[in-house]
Amino acid sequence: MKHENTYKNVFLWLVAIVAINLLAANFFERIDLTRDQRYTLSPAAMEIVSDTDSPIVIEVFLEGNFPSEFRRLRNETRQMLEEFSAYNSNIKFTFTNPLEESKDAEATAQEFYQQGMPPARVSVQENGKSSEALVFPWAVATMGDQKVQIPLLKNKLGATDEERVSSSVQQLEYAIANALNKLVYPRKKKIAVMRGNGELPDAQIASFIKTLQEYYFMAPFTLDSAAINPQKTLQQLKEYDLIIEAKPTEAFTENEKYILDQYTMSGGKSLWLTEAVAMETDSLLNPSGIAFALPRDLNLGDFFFSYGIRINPVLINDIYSAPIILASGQGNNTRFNPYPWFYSPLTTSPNDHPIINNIEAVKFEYANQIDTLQNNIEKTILLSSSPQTRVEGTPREISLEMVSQEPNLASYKDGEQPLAVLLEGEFTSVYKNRIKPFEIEKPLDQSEETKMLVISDGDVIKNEVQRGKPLELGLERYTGNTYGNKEFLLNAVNYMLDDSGLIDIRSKEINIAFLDDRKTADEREKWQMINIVLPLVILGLFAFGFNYFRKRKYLK
Amino acid sequence: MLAILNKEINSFFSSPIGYLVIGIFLVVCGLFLFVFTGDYNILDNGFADVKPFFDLAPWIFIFLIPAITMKSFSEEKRQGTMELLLTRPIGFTQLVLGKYFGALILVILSILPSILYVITIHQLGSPVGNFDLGATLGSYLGLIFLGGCYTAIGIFASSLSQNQIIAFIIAVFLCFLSYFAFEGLGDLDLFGSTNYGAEYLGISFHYQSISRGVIDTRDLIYFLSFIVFFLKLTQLRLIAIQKNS
Repeated sequence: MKHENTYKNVFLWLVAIVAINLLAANFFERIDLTRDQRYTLSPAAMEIVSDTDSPIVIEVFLEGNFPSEFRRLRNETRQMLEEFSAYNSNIKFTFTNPLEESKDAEATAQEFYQQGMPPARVSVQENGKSSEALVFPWAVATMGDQKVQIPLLKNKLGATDEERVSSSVQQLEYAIANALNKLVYPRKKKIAVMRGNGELPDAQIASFIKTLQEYYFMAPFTLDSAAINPQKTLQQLKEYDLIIEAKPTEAFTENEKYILDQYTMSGGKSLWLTEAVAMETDSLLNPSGIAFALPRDLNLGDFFFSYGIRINPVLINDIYSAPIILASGQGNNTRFNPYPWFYSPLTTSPNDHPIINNIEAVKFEYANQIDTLQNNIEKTILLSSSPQTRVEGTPREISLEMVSQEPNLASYKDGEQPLAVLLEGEFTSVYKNRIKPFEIEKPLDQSEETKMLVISDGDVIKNEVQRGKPLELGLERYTGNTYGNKEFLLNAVNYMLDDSGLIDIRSKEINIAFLDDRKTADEREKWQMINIVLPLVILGLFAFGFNYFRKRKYLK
Repeated sequence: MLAILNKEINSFFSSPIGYLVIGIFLVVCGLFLFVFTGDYNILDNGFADVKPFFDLAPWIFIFLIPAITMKSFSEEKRQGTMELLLTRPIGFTQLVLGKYFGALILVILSILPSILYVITIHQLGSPVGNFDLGATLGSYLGLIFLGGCYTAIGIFASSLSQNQIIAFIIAVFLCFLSYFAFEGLGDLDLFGSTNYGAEYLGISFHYQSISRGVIDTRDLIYFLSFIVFFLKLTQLRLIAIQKNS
């Protein structure tokens, strides 16, 4: 009888406690104590999460035995996913170790590689021995039959594993929110890839276009009909939210320019990758190894001038640059060696605009200098050459011989040169107070608020092609280096199309505190002593004091 | 209640066992965090945070806290002072709470010297002082709640037997179970992709959530209900003892 009562009592308490916890699960409050608010989702991410109403499962492959940096990445990933699923229980996640099921690590790696998720090789230090381990820093989000890959690790050029993980952690929220964004929101905006003025062929821009297709409707658009029926061409072009001009090589006619101008006036956004000097590395691959860089007139001078910039027909020669890969030897003995090539600037950003925040260096080839002029348009220099830059006039002879010459550092004194400029504001028409090339119903002299990005090099968007297949934009075949070109352009397009606040998440800064390596090494013994001996000393003093006072109390 | 609490602390610190327990805890922590190479070594890890301490503590607490709590009721029973206590006009709730908070204060005292680890990180950070104070405070709060849960288990285990060793072993087992077992169940993937249900019952899930610096009311309510439940069990157990005698 007595016992029955006790059991009943215990059971009732258990039920009450479970009920309280279930209730609490529905009404909860979270306080983020971290310095950088890293576990608080940004408003943009929250919006995406709250719009998620069908189940999404995220499978993370980052599991297994790896160095502490990657354990950190795994933990941060888990915590970030917990944060997402705390707000919406439709989001679920699992961690799996791809190497657990299969014996053959290389086969698994190959499988992942083919799915576009290359594993990372990291060296593991254990007991003084160094070995190599495979890490799969990828996740896949699945909603219904839709799948989106999430890269968890960023490759940052020349960065240590610590720095790579640190910058990866920083963009975790973005990586996940971005994937959810793709799953949750259907594509809406339209982008025109311009044709008809000698732009880069499809194969050379395929990588970037394919990436954009995950977010936007893409279509080729030709201005060829501008000569016959310009009004209709303009009407058709106005249906697009953004146009991409990828390295035009044929001059624009007045009709074409007027169409592009009126497109901008009606609020259309544009991404211009255009250059004023004709020069290709391919042209150097002849027996003499010499080519001539010549100015190229695209008849766009007045066009850009009235918007407030000028692309000068000069070449940027930058000490901080990507190498050129040249073959030496014959047949089986062919070797591909990198040589310094100052015409491929690796650009950095002079500010922390969201488009370029936390991205890798962007590689240019034969870029031109951009002048910014005074007008009412807000201009942001997104990328510029390094302080050790020389501006070279054209026409000039470019020779492969240059790789073997020591640069004369004294001549690199032109300083940072703008290579990518973002224009924002209300544009004034090029044809204001001018004779219009053709008649339209309501010519606009002043645009509504819009954006335009001008990059003084078409090769920024160009991917390498191997055996007819486009490689990832930014990937250099022979060195395996990845540059930030794709991220830069994608950020730029997202930014110009005001996309769902993804930019906000991207620009969120997360500080990871590191120890001072040298100090830690130098003062190791000191801190070991402090942390082992001092607590015991404190305890001893406490014991002494406690017993002393106790004795005194009893003595009284 | 205060009298009981006072008596607990006094008796703990007047015996060498108390200092031994805390001393061993501090030495083990110091060795794992600063000397031994391995996952817990702060100096090798390179990150300026005390996270390894908070990862290590649940393991050490599994032994430390039962050692602190094991004699709270067992000793009274063995010495026959239990009847005395129960006949005092303090009530069961007061008695249990007194014993509980007495032990909890000892646990908190034992983690106090770990502030030295925080100072170390503060000094070695690049630049000096570059560590996340907020997250660390969250971790300490989590650790105190974790200690609270283990202490409640320990007190309960102590009420089960008059043999301290048995009370210790039961407490270690229950602590281990409530911290790790549910996580293990979660890993078994019994319920499809939602391995949450089982994990949610375990302490480790909530401890990890709070120790990264996010205070979630759900975690707080979990900890409090866990503690209340075990204290209630202890109280019911005492009532049963009294009725039997």
